[in-house]
Amino acid sequence: MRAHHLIVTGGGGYIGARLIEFALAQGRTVTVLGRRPGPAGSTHLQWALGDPLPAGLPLVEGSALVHLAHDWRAEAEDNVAGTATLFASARDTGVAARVFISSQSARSDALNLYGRMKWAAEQCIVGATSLRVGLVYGGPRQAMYGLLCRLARLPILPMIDPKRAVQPIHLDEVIRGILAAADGRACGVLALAGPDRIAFGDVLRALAMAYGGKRLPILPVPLNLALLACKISAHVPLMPTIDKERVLGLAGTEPIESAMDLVRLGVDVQPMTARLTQEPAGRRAVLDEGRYFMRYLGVRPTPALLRRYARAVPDGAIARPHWGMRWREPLSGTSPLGQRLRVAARIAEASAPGEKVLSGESRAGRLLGLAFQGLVELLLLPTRMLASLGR
Amino acid sequence: MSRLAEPADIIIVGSGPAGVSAAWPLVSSGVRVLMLDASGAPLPTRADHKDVAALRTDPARWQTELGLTGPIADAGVSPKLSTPLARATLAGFGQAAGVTAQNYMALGSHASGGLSRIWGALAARYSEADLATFPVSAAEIDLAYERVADRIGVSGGRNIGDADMTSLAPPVAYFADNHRRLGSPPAFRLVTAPNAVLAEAREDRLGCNACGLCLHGCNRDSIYHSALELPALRRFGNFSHQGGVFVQRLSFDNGGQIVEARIGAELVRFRAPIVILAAGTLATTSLALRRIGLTGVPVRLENNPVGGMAFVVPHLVGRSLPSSGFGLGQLFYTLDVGPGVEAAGVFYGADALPLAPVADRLPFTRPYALRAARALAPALVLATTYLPGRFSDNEIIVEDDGAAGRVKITGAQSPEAEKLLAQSFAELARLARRRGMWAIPGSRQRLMPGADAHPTGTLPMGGTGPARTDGRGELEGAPGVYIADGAALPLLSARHPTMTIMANADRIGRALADQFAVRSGVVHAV
Ligand SMILES: Cc1cc2nc3c(=O)[nH]c(=O)nc-3n(C[C@H](O)[C@H](O)[C@H](O)COP(=O)(O)OP(=O)(O)OC[C@H]3O[C@@H](n4cnc5c(N)ncnc54)[C@H](O)[C@@H]3O)c2cc1C
Repeated sequence: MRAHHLIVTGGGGYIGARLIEFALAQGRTVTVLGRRPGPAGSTHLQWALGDPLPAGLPLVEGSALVHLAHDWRAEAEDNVAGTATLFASARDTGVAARVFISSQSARSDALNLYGRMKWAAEQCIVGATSLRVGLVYGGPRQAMYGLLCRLARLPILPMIDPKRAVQPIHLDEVIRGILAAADGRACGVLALAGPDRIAFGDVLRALAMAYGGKRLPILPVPLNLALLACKISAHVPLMPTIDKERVLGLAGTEPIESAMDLVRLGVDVQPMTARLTQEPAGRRAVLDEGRYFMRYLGVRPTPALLRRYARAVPDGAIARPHWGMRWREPLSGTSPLGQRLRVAARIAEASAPGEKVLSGESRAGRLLGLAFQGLVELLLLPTRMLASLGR
Repeated sequence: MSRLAEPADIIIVGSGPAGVSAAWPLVSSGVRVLMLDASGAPLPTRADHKDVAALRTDPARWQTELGLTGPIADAGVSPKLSTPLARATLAGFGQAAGVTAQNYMALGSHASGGLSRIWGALAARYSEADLATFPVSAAEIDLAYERVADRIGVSGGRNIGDADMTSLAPPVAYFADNHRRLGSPPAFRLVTAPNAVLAEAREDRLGCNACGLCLHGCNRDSIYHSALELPALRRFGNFSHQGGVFVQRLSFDNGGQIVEARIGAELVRFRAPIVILAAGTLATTSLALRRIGLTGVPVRLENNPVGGMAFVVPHLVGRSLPSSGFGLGQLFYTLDVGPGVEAAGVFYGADALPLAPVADRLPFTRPYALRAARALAPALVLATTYLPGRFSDNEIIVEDDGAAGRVKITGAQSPEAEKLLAQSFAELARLARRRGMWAIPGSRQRLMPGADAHPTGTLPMGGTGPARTDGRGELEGAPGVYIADGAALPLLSARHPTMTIMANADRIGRALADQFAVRSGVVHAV
């Protein structure tokens, strides 16, 4: 049955805000429970973790509860008890579909408190649906995803256990899963995580590549050292604070079987690399790449040319030098970088700015320039050879 | 689901050069012809520029050269195949025909007019020695050549001694001029390229004005393609043409031949006493072999082993590019590269071509390569070298799988091909050097089998294998099915095959028309 009316807690968060936006766009009504009101179009009722469903809730046919709120400052027991209270009152008032947003790390013996607590909450909400959500990426750069984006920008990334498998899933895919659960498509404890296991290090490498056009060197770090770093980061000004809970949450993630659950929910999860290029940051990175290449070629990049470049390289940005291209350009045209440069050259040549550059000057000037630059080309050969070896 | 169209005496599958050439003699003698082709959306048209200089400075130039979307081809692909027009012409063929290829570039088209929409229009004729292998008299083919040439309009093909060379690109003209002075060694014959291009206006087509935009499709219709003939054919009441009909298989019953096709999602059957296959060699082979049950077995497929190289005329380097010119082949040569082995090829100017494919191959940094290519372009001459099809060694296997079958092609060349291509390159370099052109080191390139777009010979006329046709193109094991395209060629010479495919189709159509006149006693009213 379609959930015409969503009752959402945690509506201001990374997942919650997107969920409400989607639900409203689909013509559902939304009531936001919490301290602050939701976006225009939604109704707001005061509520805090520990409260039952507020009175005065319009309980139309087809209402569904989606509980995303989590109080990081509260004690673990309070979070669990608050969840139990909310779900019990929802059941009693006849809310048919009750969806709890859990975590892939939910286990009785999870390393992190969050995982243990999510597990405990799952135990006291009989008849409800728990969605164990994997590593969520995409959309606004907040929450874990925001942290990962920041980490991927580092020149070198110290990382605990970079081979640890995670199961990334796009924010929009998560939303689709939540709405499907709210509509009652499936119930029970369901894994809402990517079907493929990807090394966590590779997720960060993919982010660095797709958003930054660079390779990300990763330095494996023992867990203890990382926890120490968390402690220090909390005391050093100007350094991004790293949350110990997050570190533990990742270190303790165990793989889950999600393929069947995704089918039940009707969610089709695309590979992360394919989706990253569709993200605004991924598109921007491709345009940056094209711009850099065109400038390198000495041709003014117009927006139309850059868009054409982006359409020619649907696989997103690749790792490339960000400066000193002339002496780092690979000798071969078959490497990814060599190929992309040729695509850019083709566009540059077929452009009005390119024509201006190429047709300018007198014959003598042109030949003189070529002769001089030819000498430079010779001088560049050794470093270009070295760069080719490195790639 | 099933539908029988209005009665036709003959169904022709394909509106390419072969199909149209087979149609003419039939239609003009009153036979009722239904021509089917698989064309879908209309091909893109390009903006109308006065000449190549106007295109170069147009801010929207990239749209003409690269199209709005899609990948941008790299150096491995001929510039002819990377234009928006070419991409649309080739689109969808491989997938619909179920083609998988290994070391072979399977080119085919579902357009109205087929591959001739993007062909190089080089209209060479086979030599007497080539034609001697045909199971018909050379005189008969020669007559057909004349009729086809009259129909489509062919210019060029003159000896360098008495040709007007003002229309040649400057470096090509320089080379030709030196050749005229030096004279021709007997092993190397050079003529102005015989092109299916109108020098003067005729009916609906305008004469070539050397705008230089040939690569992107001729807005004046000076360059021949076979869809240009459809309006004239349609004026006959006994001819009809239906596009958007994808023929999937052939069958037969007492009533004659059945053509099973798909129109969008609808399955349709057409029926006629006779079917002529002219769907291009690959598609025709798939339909024919499934019709005679010769599936799952390898059949020989010929193509022209082909390579290319570049020359430079030094004193022209760095000049400004001419504002107009002629973008197709400028000179045509044949060269003896061994006893009884004739290579053939074309010299092109580079002033109307995109530079990037040249720049792509230069080992410099990109900014320098682009500028160097630009400086080279006005001095550049590009040449192709084709070898006879017997030096190819491809295999095609047709599987009766799914509604439209599958085609597997494995490309290969005889070891001799490599040697002969190298020999041809070396000989060309030597001849060119004496005529004022320098071969550019490293510019030699061998193309993948199939990139020549001359697949032929799977059902050779007068052949001896199980896959063969008789002297009139009738398919062995399937009376009433005729093969009118390259599949039926008994020999693939080094010279471009389309004129010969057309002449042969004309001949086959003519023989069938005679047969109809005899059989029915009366000819249907026109
Ligand atoms: C880039 C390029 C340059 C070339 N240059 C030259 C040159 O300079 N000189 C030369 O001699 N040759 C050249 N060729 C080759 C020449 O184009 C072909 O030899 C010629 O087009 C073959 O004609 P055809 O009628 O046999 O087949 P095509 O031209 O391929 O036509 C096939 C027809 O069959 C139809 N068809 C195909 N499958 C089906 C189906 N299943 N159902 C219904 N209809 C179908 C298509 O719609 C089309 O109308 C070139 C080719 C290319 C690609």
